[in-house]
Amino acid sequence: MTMKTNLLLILALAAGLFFTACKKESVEEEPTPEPVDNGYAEGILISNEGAFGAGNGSISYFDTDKNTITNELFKTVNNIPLGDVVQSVYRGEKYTYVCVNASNKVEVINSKTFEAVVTITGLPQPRYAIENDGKLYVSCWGNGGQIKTIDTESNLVIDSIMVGTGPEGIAIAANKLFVANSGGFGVDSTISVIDLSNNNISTIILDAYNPGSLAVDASSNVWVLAKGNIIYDASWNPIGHNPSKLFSINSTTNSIGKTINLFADKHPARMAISGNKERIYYGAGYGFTGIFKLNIHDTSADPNPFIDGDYYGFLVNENNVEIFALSAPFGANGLLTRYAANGDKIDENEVGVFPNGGVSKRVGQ
Amino acid sequence: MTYYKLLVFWLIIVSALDSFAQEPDSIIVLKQVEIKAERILEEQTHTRSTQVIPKVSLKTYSTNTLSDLLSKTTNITINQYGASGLSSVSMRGGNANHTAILWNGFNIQDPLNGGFDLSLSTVNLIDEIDINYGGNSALFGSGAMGGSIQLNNKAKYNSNFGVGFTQSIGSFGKRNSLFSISYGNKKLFLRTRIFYSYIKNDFEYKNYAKKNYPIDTLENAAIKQYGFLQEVSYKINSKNEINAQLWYQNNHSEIAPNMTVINGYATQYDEFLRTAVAYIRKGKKLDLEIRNGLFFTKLQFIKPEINLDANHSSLNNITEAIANYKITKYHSVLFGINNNFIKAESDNYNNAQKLNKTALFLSYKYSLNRKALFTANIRTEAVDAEFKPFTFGLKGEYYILKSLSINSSISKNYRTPSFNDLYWLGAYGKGNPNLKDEHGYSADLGANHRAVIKKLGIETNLSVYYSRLSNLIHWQPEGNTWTPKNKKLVDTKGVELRVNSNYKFTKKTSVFLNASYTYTDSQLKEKADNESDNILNKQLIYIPFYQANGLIGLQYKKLRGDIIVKYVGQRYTTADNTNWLDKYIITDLSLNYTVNYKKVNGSLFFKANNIFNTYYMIREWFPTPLINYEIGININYN
Repeated sequence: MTMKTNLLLILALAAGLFFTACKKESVEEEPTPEPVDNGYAEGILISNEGAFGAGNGSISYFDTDKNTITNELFKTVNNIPLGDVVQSVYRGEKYTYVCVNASNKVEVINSKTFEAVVTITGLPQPRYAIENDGKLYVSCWGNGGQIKTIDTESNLVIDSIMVGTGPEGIAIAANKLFVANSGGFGVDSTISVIDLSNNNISTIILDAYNPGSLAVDASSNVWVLAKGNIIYDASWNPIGHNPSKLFSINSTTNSIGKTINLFADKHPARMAISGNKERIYYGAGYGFTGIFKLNIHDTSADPNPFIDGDYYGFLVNENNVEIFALSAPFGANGLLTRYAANGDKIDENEVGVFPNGGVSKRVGQ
Repeated sequence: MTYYKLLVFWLIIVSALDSFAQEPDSIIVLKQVEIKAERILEEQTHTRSTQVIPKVSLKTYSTNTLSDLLSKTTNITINQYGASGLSSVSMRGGNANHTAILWNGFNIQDPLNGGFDLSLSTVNLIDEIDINYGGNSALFGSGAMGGSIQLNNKAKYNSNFGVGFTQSIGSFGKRNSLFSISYGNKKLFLRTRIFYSYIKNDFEYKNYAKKNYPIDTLENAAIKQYGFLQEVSYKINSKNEINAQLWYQNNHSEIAPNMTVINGYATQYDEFLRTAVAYIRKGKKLDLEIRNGLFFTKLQFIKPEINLDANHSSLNNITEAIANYKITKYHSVLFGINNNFIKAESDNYNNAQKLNKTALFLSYKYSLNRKALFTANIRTEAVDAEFKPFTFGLKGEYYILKSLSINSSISKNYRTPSFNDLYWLGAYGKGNPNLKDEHGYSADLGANHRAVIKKLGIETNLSVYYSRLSNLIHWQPEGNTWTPKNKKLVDTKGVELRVNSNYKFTKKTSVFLNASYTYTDSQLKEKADNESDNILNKQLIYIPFYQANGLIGLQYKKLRGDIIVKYVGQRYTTADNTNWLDKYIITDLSLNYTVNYKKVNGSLFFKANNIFNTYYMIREWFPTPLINYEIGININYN
């Protein structure tokens, strides 16, 4: 090859490089699928937190007729990510609401099609939502701990009510909103009670720390799981524990009925109730092993777990008392293990990243 | 992909040309690379496989950050969390804290987290950047596991009195000003550089997190930086020199969250003072270097929505003495001692924490000029009178032809746990003072070809490597709290190819063509207890298998134009490789027109970045800007 041909070759290739490089990479925009009623209002929705900061929170859908799982439901239907840290999902009368904690928003979703309807903003670190009489109440950790009230017609925030630190689980009984003040990143030991007829607030003080989960039983008693906490010295060395306890509160009088001691040095993170509102399930969370069962008429806790194993969260299918136990290994998708009402394992399915719970309640239930 | 094949094709064709005709004076590329390192350790490690960032690139990116420069001119993986967030490096599959960042020979990685934020360093305070791929802990100490990046200041003796001013303005409120004043005679060199830079970063981006992907404007992502660098160098006589540098910088960054988050803003204040003093003796037989670096760092991170206002500060003092004795013309022996004292305070630590470690290192070098080079290094480090196992490094280069050399190295490397890993204290996490060093082995084999064929100058470097990083620290739950443990193991193998060339048509016209390509296969082989089995044998997140970049430049009289192309392949975003970001190609244009008038020389420059308006993401859901411009002027009186 002579130098001249080499040079021409170089230039030709350089030009080629330049023009091929010019080819613009277009991001594929798939057409949004025509929304259809896929029965999403019927099955079970699982909230997958996703990794903090990664924006990969998601919803998994378990079809209870076919026993199949669909992951990334929201993203698949809407072609947008759900957000950062999906704390909870709630099925309201008309819509499904998803509290996206680190994204500071609640996504309002068409329950049947799972199509995104609107995004409610102005919610500092929303945790859980519940609907009552045309209003959606959302517990928020931000601004010192608040309940935000949203009009379900306009989807606008219409009120803010200051509660305790780290408001977490919420429940409605006797036309009152019960709020478990979980302590957030610190400590609290109160339940805030908001009278929904006049928004008056009263406080129930528990003989326990960090109440996080609430459930209403068949007798309209509000059950509280206080997970307790670790006591540290000034150097953050653990020097002891405040025990975990269950309480039942009379929703009419706000008085504490039953106190059931659970564990002196272990801290179950979650609680759920069966469809007939007769059985309480509690357990799961980091550093806690097992899911335990308690009849609402029991006066003491069974020391043996109903389901053994390390789970990050769980939910109870209110329609058939199956337990959906959720494990959340790091770096990968989580795993749903289904257990029958008698505690026998049924099957396993891969779900999203960091599954923590979900909802089985159907519209109208 | 076509673009790729063309590149590779071009490389092979041109590199294969025979290369005995020498015409050194026409070669711009090669001259640059021949610069001899001044510091003993750099000289000890410099081979033809060392990547020297071309002067023209330093000029092109002088108003940008190190993050911009390295991502556009090298294939080092740059992880940037949005326009104003942290930007860190990954070399040969290592983490951000596995690349040693050396400023005038001192490691300036942050003692608290072991990292280094490239977006806080502006290019205009740096005179030379050399990159050594592969581990070199035996000489550079903790952290140099995947590679090392040397940022140097260089004295210009005999440069007389000079004043310089650079001002640029650009898209998204960008302003960059640099004023420099210097004086250099035979013995003394003094220079002061003062800079100010600001960017509002209020660019428009396609919001993939909202329905129908509307165009949104980024908010709360401004960066304001100012600082100065003072240098003094004094030649006592022909053999002895002392020099000192003082670098102060103040940074205020607004940190915008990813696009899936509403509000969620944070603010970060970074302030640092870096001082370096060195005495250097260059003798016939004995070279000596005694130096001290003292670094103060302050960081405040504020996130109002979670009432977070965290303060951290550190003092880091490094004292090093190195003697290099030339036994004969070919053999030399180097002995060094390094003491590092760190004191750090943080809202996340109980008390001020301290660390005092002393390292001894020994190196032997055999050098047969332009024929063969061999170095053997060994190092041991003592913390509180307790000696750690030896680390070592062997490196050889052999010249098959005058123009062609092969090189190989094998090394054992380590990283001392960061202060956060050791001393963190809080309700949810607790550092582990019993952590061991992370370890690594790396080996590589390379070929370097450097030739001048009439008017064509070309330099090619090819390396294949293997590295194993083990005992990697990972935070995992233990009971009710999180604590770090030595757990993970990562195997990386890869290929690196670089070609720099220029062709001089006439005295007035030259063409430049640079290209580089890397392949990185970095897999997790051992995991932590809380991690899924599904992440084993998977590619590490945010490490692309393929990366490439290219530069086509034209110099015509006083005008220089460059087109710079960067390709980043698909990257996984989850450790089980079930989600990923698509590949992208970004193209930039740079024009520079030089003006000389008597003692004044200056230039007008213009840059257009992302000229094809490509939508892309470096980190998932973090917006990146579309086409943007910068125009500026540089005036020097000398």
